[in-house]
Amino acid sequence: MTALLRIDGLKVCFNTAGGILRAVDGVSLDIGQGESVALLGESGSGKSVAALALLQLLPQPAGRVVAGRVLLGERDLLRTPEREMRAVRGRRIAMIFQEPQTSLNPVMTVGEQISEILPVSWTRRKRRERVMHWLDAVGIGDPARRYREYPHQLSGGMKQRAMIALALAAEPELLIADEPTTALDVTIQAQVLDLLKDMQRRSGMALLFITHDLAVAYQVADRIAVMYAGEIVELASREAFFSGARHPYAQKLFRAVPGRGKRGGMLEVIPGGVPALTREFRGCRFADRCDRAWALCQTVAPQWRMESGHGVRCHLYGADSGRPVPSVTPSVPAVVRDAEEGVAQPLLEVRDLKVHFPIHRGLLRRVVGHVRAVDGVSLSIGAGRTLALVGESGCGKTTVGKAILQLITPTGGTVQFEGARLDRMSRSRLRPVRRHLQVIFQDPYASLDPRMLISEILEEGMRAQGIEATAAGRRRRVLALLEQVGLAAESLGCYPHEFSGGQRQRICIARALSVDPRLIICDEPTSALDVSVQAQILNLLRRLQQELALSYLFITHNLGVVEYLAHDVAVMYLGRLIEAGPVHEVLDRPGHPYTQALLAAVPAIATGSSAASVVASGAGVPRGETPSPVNPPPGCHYHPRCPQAMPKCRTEYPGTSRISAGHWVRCHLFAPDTT
Amino acid sequence: MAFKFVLLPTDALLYLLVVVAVIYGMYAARHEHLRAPWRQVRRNPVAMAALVVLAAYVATGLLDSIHFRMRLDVPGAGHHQAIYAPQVRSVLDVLCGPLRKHVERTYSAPFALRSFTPQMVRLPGGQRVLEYPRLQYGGAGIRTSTDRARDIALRCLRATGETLALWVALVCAVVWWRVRHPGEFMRTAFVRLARGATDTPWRTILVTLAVVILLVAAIVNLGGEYHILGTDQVGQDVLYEAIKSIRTGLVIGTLSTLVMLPFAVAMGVMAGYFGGWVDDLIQYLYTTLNSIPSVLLIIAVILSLQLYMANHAASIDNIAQRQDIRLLALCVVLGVTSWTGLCRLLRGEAMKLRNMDYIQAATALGVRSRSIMTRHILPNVMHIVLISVVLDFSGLVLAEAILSYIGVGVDPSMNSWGNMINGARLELARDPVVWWSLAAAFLFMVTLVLAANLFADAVRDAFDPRLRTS
Repeated sequence: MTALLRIDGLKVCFNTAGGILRAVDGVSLDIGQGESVALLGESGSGKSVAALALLQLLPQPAGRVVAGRVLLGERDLLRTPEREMRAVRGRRIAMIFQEPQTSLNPVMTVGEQISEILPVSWTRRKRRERVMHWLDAVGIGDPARRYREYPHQLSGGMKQRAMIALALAAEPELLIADEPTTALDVTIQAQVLDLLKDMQRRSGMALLFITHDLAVAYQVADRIAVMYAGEIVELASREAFFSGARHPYAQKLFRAVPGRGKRGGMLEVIPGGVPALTREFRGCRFADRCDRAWALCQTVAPQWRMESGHGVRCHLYGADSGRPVPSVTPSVPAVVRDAEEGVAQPLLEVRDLKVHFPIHRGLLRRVVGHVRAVDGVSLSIGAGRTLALVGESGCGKTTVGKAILQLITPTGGTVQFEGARLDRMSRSRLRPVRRHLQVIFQDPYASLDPRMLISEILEEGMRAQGIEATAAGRRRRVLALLEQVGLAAESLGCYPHEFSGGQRQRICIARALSVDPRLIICDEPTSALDVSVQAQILNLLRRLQQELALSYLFITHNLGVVEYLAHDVAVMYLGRLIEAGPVHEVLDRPGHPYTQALLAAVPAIATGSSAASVVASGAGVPRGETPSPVNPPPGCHYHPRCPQAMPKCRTEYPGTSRISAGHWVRCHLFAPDTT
Repeated sequence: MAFKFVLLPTDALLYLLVVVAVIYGMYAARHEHLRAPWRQVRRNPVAMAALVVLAAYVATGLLDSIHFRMRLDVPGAGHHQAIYAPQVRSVLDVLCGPLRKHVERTYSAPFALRSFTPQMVRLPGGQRVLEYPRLQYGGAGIRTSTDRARDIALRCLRATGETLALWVALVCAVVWWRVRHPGEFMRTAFVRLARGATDTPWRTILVTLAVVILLVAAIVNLGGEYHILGTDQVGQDVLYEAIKSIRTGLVIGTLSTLVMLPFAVAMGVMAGYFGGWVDDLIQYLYTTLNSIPSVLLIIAVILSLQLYMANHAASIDNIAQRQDIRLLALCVVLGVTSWTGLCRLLRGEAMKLRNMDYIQAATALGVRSRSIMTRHILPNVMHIVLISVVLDFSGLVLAEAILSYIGVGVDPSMNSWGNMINGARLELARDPVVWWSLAAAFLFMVTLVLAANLFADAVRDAFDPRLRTS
């Protein structure tokens, strides 16, 4: 295979207030023609910066390339003047970004934007036809209409398809995709990944796929390059990597991914976070977090070693290590006891909860309709149990959480906490009850007041609830909380911006614990975090549940987390629950076609087994996207996307059908309960 | 007691403002999120130069805000019953003694020896001659214009010498202060200062200070002997008027904001946080206020105030008090008409913040609304308040000039740039033109507004999160 692009010793530095940041420190990588390479790494590992540097798109003037070559054929891209780079960007190397919302210009139609890429010498008509061809190729239905539409008229998945069309229109030799599916729902992600692979197969272009998700990398890549702290630490073919990763970091990443196999045990945790790249490294960059590091790792930087196509940067594999390569034994994590199965008295009981947001229109702001964000949800959580509420974005799962907390006034239904009706309480009566129900939000950056010290943040709830009247008592308690969530006592005098995402999420957990809650509503608490940090947080939540007999309402879209943490699952679609039951029942024997589709769409790693059984791709992935809750489809909400839809589904909303004791589903495929 | 303090209402408010500024400074010093942006302002040479100029203005204004009445030596009065002069003076008046006292008969040009307008003079022989009479004070001891040139040069030289002496002392003080830490050396500190390699732009600050000191020294040396900027129609020294106007400008620029600030902040935050009918009510209020032409409102208030003062003339015992009441009324009415912009901004920001996760988390912890507004929302909108206050300042100073020009501003007898410009309107029609009144008002106002704007820009750059670089 001839190399299309050859990156050789690339080094990129940023000038920051804290000193020079070596974002990429000597990366070498070849990408062959028609090959797809995944660049895998946590946030801050320098993978996006490396990609931007290839195209001379580094943010100026802070970033600059200090060393290295990037050869596209004979041409060194790093020494190509800006004028000639324009002929390379978009034409020979195209790029798609993570956020489809901001990558398209909102004031230009989709068609105009794509035709900008095409040669100016072409006639309008020819260009138009070409654009239509590409829109059709990326699976955008009715291209003639979409051509004239503006980006805001397209859904998220559609926008990412348009971005792919834009990138492909110039028929590049290499496509760089920077986390193109991270902002998308799991079903849409599966569609986009399928599309990318399909396009690559048909056009024979090379693909550099940047991702933090092992399973996604598994699905798209021929070769995997793992980046850590600005360096590539492992490079191998997909088969070799997924059957036997060599670098301790990669091995730990595998074990940090939550899933059912790890249920009952603690997740493998990589302590700490990616080191600050402003500091000088003497030894191995991973040594501080590595449990197999020895003296050599601290003092000598490991060399790059390549053996039959499998490269690794680790002293464990060095001839000079003087230490035998230990067999990869996954450290056996302490087995933890699960909460008592068996239904206790429910702590929280929600019946027929409805939240409708009025839509105002016209001069008099008359109510013309309602967004039925939550439309009759019933659930109950017992003490010490975890209920996972699963659904795609826009299905109303966050609204359910806020309505239970009475942060949004429900339109209808009841919320009972230990027999008391929360929805009937006045603000002042509610205030003392609030200490029992706490919340952890998704975005650790938005959930801490940037103007408050950590000590103030943690004491706020105690003051409000009148816990610990004295300052000394509060301080003692705050220190205990910090220890409980694994933060140093010095953190008290710091501001939130001094902490990383995972540490902030720990502070959020400590804040929630500060008032001794019985139930914590976790609204996607780990979706903004890296895999290794996610494992830390999940372990912490699990430990706290066992120590304090907490109940969780765990709102998430990540089925791996559900499998790891939850006792019960409720699946939500367009404001309603469509299936619920104990976790093993729902995930092993999903009843509803939507649940089946969700499970099928999760990218899976078939470790060790033949590479052919990649996924049950395509077959089970639902078509289309979630309709708008303003105007839900008649009958069963899911029928437009359902492969098994019957005439009855179009007219009638299905009733509840019980499959087993705790497992029910709302689908016409099952006989409804007679009661 | 040789004098009696007089506390005018605007004085009290100005002192309050100084106290508030000091408290804010102490608060900001202890909070990193406030200290960091100010540190950025401190590193900005333009901002620091502007700050030096502003400080000179503020110092002048504050000196002019310490008022008292002198005790009169009335022969008949008893020991216990002191009688005080009816005129209210300020410390600045005392410092500018010669400037204030040297009142000519009418117009004279800058540095003139003779009056600008000819007068009929009766000669001893009974003959009447039209001539330019000698000024009473301007260049009193000078005979010819060559003498005058030499005298001015000498005085300037002395002013330069004094400036240099004071400035060198200042530079040494700064260097000494910087090398108080061990390990620093005088020599390197001087070199670093001269190269402008210090963190705080001391070189810029010191150079600006040198200019300010030089100007003050020149005024001190020349002002007693000449009318540096000429005299106006009634023979008042124009420089004195312009200096006295500084306080008026500062009062208008700061107190108007101070008056409106509590309303704007409270209402904006409440409207944004509570929403619903509270929001509707407050929005209704400021939309209505905003649709009244502000000039009309100001005219109405000033006219009714005049009427009130005419009816209650007995309770107002001196001219300073009358001027002050009108000044305060103008501040209040300017504040009332200009708070809506800030209120609207804060409402929008509070609406955005209300849905932030940390506010939701606080609600879920059972924190009271009042507490959320003061502890969470207020600190997070403070940068908007600060930016709008410094940006509004120069606009208000200019507004005063315009309002006084059309006759609804400050009391006509009060020193203000607006009144100076208003007077200059007639003077510009004369031939030859009397330009110095207008020029003086213009120069003083532009310097203040320019400095304020430059400083405001730096403050906005430092505090606006969207513009923040780090």
